[in-house]
Amino acid sequence: MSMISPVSVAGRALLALGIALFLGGLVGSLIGVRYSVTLSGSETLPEGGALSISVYTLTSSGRVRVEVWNATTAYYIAGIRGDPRSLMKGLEAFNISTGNEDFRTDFRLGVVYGVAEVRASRGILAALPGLSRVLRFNIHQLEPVEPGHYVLEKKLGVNEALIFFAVGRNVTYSFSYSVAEKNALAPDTISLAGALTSLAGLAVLRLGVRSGSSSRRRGGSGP
Amino acid sequence: MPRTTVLSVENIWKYYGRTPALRGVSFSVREGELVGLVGPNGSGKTTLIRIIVGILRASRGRVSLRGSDPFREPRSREGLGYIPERPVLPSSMSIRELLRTAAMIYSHPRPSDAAEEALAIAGLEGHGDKSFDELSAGLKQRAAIAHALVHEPEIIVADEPTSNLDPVERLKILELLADLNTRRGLTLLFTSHVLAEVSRLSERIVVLLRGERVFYGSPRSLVERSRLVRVRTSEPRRLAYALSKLGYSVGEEAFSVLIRLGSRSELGKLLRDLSEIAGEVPIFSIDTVEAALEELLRGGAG
Amino acid sequence: MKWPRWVVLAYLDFSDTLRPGIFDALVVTMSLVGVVLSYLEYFGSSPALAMSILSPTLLATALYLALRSSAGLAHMAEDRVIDVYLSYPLGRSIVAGVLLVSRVLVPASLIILLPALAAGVVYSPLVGSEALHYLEMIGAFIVQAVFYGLMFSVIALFARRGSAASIISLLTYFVYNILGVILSNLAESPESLMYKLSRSMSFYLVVYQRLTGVSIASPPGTLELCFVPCLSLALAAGFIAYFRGWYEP
Repeated sequence: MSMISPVSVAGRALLALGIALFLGGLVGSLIGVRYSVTLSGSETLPEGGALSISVYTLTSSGRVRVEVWNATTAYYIAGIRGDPRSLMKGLEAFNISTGNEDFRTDFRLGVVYGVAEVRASRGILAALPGLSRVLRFNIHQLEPVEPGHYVLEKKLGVNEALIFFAVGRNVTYSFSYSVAEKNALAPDTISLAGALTSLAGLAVLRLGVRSGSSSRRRGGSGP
Repeated sequence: MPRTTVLSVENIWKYYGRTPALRGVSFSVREGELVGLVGPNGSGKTTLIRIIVGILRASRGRVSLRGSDPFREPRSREGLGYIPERPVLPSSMSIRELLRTAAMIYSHPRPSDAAEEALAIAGLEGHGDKSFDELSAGLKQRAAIAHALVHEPEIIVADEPTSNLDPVERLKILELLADLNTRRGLTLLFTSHVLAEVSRLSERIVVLLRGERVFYGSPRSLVERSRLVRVRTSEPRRLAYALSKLGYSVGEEAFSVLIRLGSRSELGKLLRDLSEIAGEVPIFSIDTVEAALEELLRGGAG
Repeated sequence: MKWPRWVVLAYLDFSDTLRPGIFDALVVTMSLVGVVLSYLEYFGSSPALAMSILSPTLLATALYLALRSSAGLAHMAEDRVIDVYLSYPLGRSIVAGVLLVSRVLVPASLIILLPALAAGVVYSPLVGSEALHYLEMIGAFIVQAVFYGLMFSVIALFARRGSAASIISLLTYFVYNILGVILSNLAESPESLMYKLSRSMSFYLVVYQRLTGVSIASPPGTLELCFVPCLSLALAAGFIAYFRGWYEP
């Protein structure tokens, strides 16, 4: 007949924790750990069109690098709290609409990112920095590193978004996001910790059984 | 020296909705006394016992157990041992551990010793490491008794302590309770619907019928005022015929004959007549006790 | 050493509520889910880690409390084990308090705590630097689980049958959560009373939004923060008062 005592509960808790860590570590090894993502491609855009690359961190913080080639101009909006797609919706009031959206939610990195086509007249896009005051966001214009080649590197905090616009006809792009810190321990370490915790749990359980039986022999009076 | 009153029940009423389960029941139990509570099923025995233990609240009236109200005052249950109707105990630990824990709740100075002693008294040696669920019906009853005894109570309130037991087990449990009363001076209030069982042990009995007290006194006085005698036989028709020829008022039943005497003094004559008839008609038993209860419950006495 | 009587009664009751088997299986499973989720998702803040790991755990805890604790409490009355407790020389309020601790507080805390601990081990570099926030989130989830457990315990007092208690408890849990969703959908704006009421119904969400500022509405105020804890206190007080003065198994 099993007995409940603070020692046995502690032993069982340690054992449960150990088993979960051990098995979880094994599963972690199987599924692997990912700390960065890349996306690249090229888009043929209509006259006056632009490509937007958005990234929105859900649970992670990290570093974004966006690189485009064959672009005539590039802008970006940073410091957006929450989902940037609501801001893009807001731009519809200025005849700037999006289409062909390809957004991906990567829970393994805690980030949403994607590309979309921006449809607007050339004049409107050129005037984008002037909308800063209306939108209450600073729209920055980038300087090219060489003709047609623009690079943006930014740090993003948790729940922060960034939108990058590249104006041009045939824009080639490359996007990468890598988390700021590797916060999780390696799966092998967790499995090892789990095995040790399980052993500790078993030892505590044995200790509980032994002290329980000796306390009964002595006529002990503790629960 | 007069014995002090351990339990007094004064004009207890209990309603379930608008239906009264108990109607103004009163009686008392003195120190060292053995009192039986008798009544058919549904007479309110269990409800009364649960009010006495403090599990239920009386709608009206007053219960005083060791000087205070058991529903409100935990100290009144300090010296109380309770054996419920269906023996039930937590089954998540061994009986030994459970008894030790129960002894600790009552602040017994040596809980482990108390548990071993209770196991021995209740005849549960060798079963202490089993859980309650692993015990047979008889052993469960004994475990409930051990649990009630573990803190060395002054009074035990037992609800049908012999129900669901075979005759041999019943007798053993009754002997155990009687022994505790004689040797330890334990006060005992117990219920049963078998008057013969109760009258064998009790100094006084309380008979309940439909929630009302219909008799309160010694078993002897109940039996003595009765004029009914039941004779068990395999040939009730022949026996009834023989007795009616001798002038007795008889009623025939499936395996017995019920005789109504004109007065209690006729009992001697009846026994003599039966001894003569016994040569021709097989007679298994002559019962005046259960018949007395039956007479009472049928409304023959008050 | 002489233990207080209520501690001994709690020890007796724990032996039922913490009986090995389903409880251990649930704790292992939820902790394992916690570790696996920690590897499936990346977390940059400890409140986000707690939110993600403990949301499924809270559901499992609520189901456990409805199916085991609430049903167990009603079952105690049904098979009259509660009579044994009530025959002990302990005040009824103490027995009621012990039942709440043993059947709600301790199981709920353990089921929430262990997966949080497991995920905390995996994310120890992060949790180590934001320990207080992580603990606040764990506390918030425990408060929410205890709140559900208290609701179910009150139901168990009246249901009297184990099966009825678990069914009504489950229904209450789903109705409560659906009500939250309906209120938030009916809300005209994130600043409306209805939205704030729906948000208040999830204490962990209020704490999360206060800690991280992640919210479509303005950060939750003190009233929203107090909603579930105050309801829990009221339920606990109601349970104890009813058990003390009127409860008849």
